[in-house]
Parts: sequence; C-alpha cells; structure tokens
Amino acid sequence: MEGYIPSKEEFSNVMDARFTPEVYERLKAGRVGIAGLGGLGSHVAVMLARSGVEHLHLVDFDKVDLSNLNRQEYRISHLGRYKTEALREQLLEINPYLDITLDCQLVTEDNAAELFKDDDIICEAFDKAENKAMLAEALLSAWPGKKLVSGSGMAGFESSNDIKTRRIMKNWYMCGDEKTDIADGIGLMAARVSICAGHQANMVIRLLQGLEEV
Amino acid sequence: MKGYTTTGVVFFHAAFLHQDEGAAVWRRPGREVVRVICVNGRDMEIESGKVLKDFLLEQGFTIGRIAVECNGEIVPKAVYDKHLLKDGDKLEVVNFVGGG
Repeated sequence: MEGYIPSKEEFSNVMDARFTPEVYERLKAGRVGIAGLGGLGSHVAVMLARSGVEHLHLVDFDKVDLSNLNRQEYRISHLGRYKTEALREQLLEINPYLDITLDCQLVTEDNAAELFKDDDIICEAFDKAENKAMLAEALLSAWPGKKLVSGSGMAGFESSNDIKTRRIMKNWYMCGDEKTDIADGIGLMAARVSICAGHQANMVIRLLQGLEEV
Repeated sequence: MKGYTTTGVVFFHAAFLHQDEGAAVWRRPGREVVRVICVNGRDMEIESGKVLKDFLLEQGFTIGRIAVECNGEIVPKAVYDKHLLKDGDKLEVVNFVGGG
C-alpha cells in the first residue's frame, strides 16, 4: 500500500479500545517537552507518539552520528542530519497528525526556562551529568508548577531491576539506577537505556492521566 | 542490683546535658549543634553557621553534578555559599551521573 496515509479517523478507530476514550483525551491534551534526543529522548518521543501524545516539543542541537546508532532511534539515512528533523520524520511516519515543535539549539541555564515555557511536562534526556543538573535547577526554579522527569544512571548491562522511578519533589521525578555512570569499560547499551526511557515515558503518561505517584 | 532502679544515673546525666523539645540530639550547654535531615532522611549533626556549599564539599559532592532541594524548594547554585543551614532543615541532594 505504497503512499497510503491513514486518515485521522482511521487512527482514532484503531486506538486500543480496552482503554476508555478519556485516557486518550488526556494524552492528546498534554504538552510534553523532550530535552535531548539521544538514547533516552528519541525513544521517549517514539513511545509517547505511539501512545497518542500529540503535542511534542523536541529540543536538541546535535546531528545524528554513526556512534548513535547503537542505541538511538535513528537510521543510516539520517546520518549527518539534525536530530530534531530526523526524529520528526520518524514520528510523522508513525502518526502524520502529530503537532511537533522543534528547537534545534543547545540548552543552557540562560535559555532553559524560556525554551520550555509552553510545556506542561518536561522529560530530561541529556547525556552529561552537568547538563542534567543544570536543567533540573533551571526548570524547577523558574517553573515550580511544571513537572520534570529526569533520567540518571542507565549505563552498562547491570540488572534491569535496578532501574527505578522515584519522586524527589512534588513535581520532580527521577528514572534510572542513579549510580551507573559511563566510564572506562561501561558504555551505553540500547536495552538498558530503553528501560530507563520506558520508565520516563510511562511516568509522563501517568502524569497526563493525573496520577502523581510513581 | 536486683530491685534497684537506675534513677540515680539518669538524674546525674540530666544535670550535665539537656534535650531540646522535639529534637533527637543531646546538647552540651554552650556548644551549638544543629540537626539536618539529608538525603534519604538520614539525620546528620553539623556545626551551626555552616553554609550549604561547605557542607556539600565536605560530603564529597561535585557541585556541578548535583541539584539541591531544601525544605521543598530548589536552591540555586549561585547561593550555595550564602545559604546557611538551620536546625531541622530537610535536604535532598540529587547526584546525577552521565549517560542518556
């Protein structure tokens, strides 16, 4: 069925009828920002898009590199292209009716608050510990009413069961094992990073359903 | 000895130390100690007048890789060296690691 694009109605009709329509209404209404489109962010975006979250704000300054393909949601055809554009292309092939906003820029402590001002929930998906800390401080200070889902500790292939979600503050959640850093001999593998991404995406979905406990 | 209480010992002890109401710390009069509840609810004794920055460095934290919440609010790094720790403060020090 080359060139076939399902209509919006066809999409609605195939949503899993085991969930009530209200579940999907809540997913559609949310505005989610994803800070970093690497191992965590690219997977979170795909999972949320598949689940029916339509307003996605994708933020990353970087381009797709060959070394990304071991764990990030990109293909050979994306090499050298900006992650924002490559990921949007992926997402629109999953659901052409998504409302995707792109910001192809480096997030700093000076621009973070302004960048994410329109998002209700922000998923922190950076790779450097310093940037993770910077974003948490910047957003929780500037927007104490918005929800932040951070990610820390997902390297290697230690037990999957060490990856957890915990609630740090009223509006701040942390996913990961909070200890396994990247180091000599410990890199990043798709499976364990995806487990952490799954934790983040599920927490975002829970928050959109009005469920604040982990 | 059987049949004797330890009343005498308790009174002796109390003459030299007193317990602040609600606190779990015995204080020697004249020496000030504050109580801080830190990460995972672990109680710690620190000297009065300690600023957050010094406390964090003494505990071995790397300032650039942490975010700190004190009594439910984020403390910006710019004020770590001015933020005085007080008796009963509840800190959450979140230490980030790399990878994502």
